[in-house]
Amino acid sequence: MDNGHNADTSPNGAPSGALRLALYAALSVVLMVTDHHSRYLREIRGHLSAITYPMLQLVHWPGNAGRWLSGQFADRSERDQRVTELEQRWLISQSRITRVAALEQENQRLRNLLGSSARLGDKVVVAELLDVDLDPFTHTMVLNRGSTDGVFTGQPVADARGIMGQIELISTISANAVLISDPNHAIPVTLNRTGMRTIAYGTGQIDRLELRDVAVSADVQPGDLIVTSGLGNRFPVGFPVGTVDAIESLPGAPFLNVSITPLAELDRARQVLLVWPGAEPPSHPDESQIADGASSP
Amino acid sequence: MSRRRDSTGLVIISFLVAMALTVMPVPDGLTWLRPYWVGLTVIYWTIESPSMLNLGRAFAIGLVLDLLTGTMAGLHALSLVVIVYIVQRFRLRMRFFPLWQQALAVGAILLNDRVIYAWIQSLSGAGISGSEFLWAPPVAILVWPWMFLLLDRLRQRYRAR
Repeated sequence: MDNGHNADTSPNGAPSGALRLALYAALSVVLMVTDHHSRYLREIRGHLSAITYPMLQLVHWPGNAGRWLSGQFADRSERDQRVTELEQRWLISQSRITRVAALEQENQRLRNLLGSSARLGDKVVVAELLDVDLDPFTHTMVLNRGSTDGVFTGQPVADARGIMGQIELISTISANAVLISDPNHAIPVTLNRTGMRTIAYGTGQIDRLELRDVAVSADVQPGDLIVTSGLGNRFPVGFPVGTVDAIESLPGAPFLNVSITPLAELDRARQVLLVWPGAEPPSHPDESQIADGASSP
Repeated sequence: MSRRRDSTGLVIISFLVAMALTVMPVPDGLTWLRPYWVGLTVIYWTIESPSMLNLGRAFAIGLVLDLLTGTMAGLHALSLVVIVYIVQRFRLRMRFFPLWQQALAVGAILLNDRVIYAWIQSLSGAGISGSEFLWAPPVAILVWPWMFLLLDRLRQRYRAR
């Protein structure tokens, strides 16, 4: 741009330095405001982030290799023990799944009798998280799947326990997801026990969400399960979000302050599920594509 | 005032390393202690080799950093442009400070930067729950002397070749 010119080469350089500072500052403010308010710059930014993705992969690699190595040298008996443990867990989940599948069919029949619309099974694809830290002010993570895998903006991301967040930026090979604990994030939920609908807000703490709109008279108890309500058509219905942890009522305040512990392992997950709510994902040659209990035999 | 030009390669490599350190995973409790590596690198080159870095280049580096960390476009660009401007103004004084005093000045500049950064983040909706964001500059003060000596050594080596 303006190569070779320095503010401190001459005493008269200072004012022009200040002028250029003002210019660049104004330019960056314009960029920030545009980015904050328009989708187009975000899309461009998503595509451009393919440029910096190799750097993230490079940083991700040593930790990954370390895990692989420690896996190679892990004690054999320890590994055998882990295998038996996983087999047992698999058996238990498998028996649960068959029962759930039967229930699902019964549910479908009843829905048909009632004439209400059938619920479609959601499809999921496994994605790997990159082991990198982004800006500490926001809770975001980087996934190794992008628009070539059919990932779309706003797509729900979950792990085996519950909802983790949604896709924010996409490039062709990678995607950034914002976690439900991000202070900018809110997710429509319902209390599983009572069916009360409300919204869970991120707090900026990785292990805590908040309900701010619950009336003082509402029936909320510690331990209540919070699931997605599906309102807003962004998250599928019935995914676990968290459990009620503590309920605080300030005297005189019209709303309760309910804090929730997320069920998903927001800070520890290595692999996540990308969810296509009620739709077939685009065919992917990878074998990691699986169908959930609703549609698999 | 160096007679021989610094190697552009070293400048580029130092920024790549700084960016790698920026996204390097650390245990959860330490995320707020991470010094502003790219900021430190920018300060070093502005003090030692001002022809290598001007506001335009700092702006470009900031945009790349925004892409890398997924922050709003322009956030790091603004931060680095302000840092370079301040260092350019005080460069002649800072150059001849003893190392510990230089570290304190760097800490003050980075503290100022963090406050502006946190303010913009809060304007864009990020909740700032405490004063954790102020922990990074003191760590940067401790890091600065070592980083300065290391980069100085590397520069002399590259020039000798």
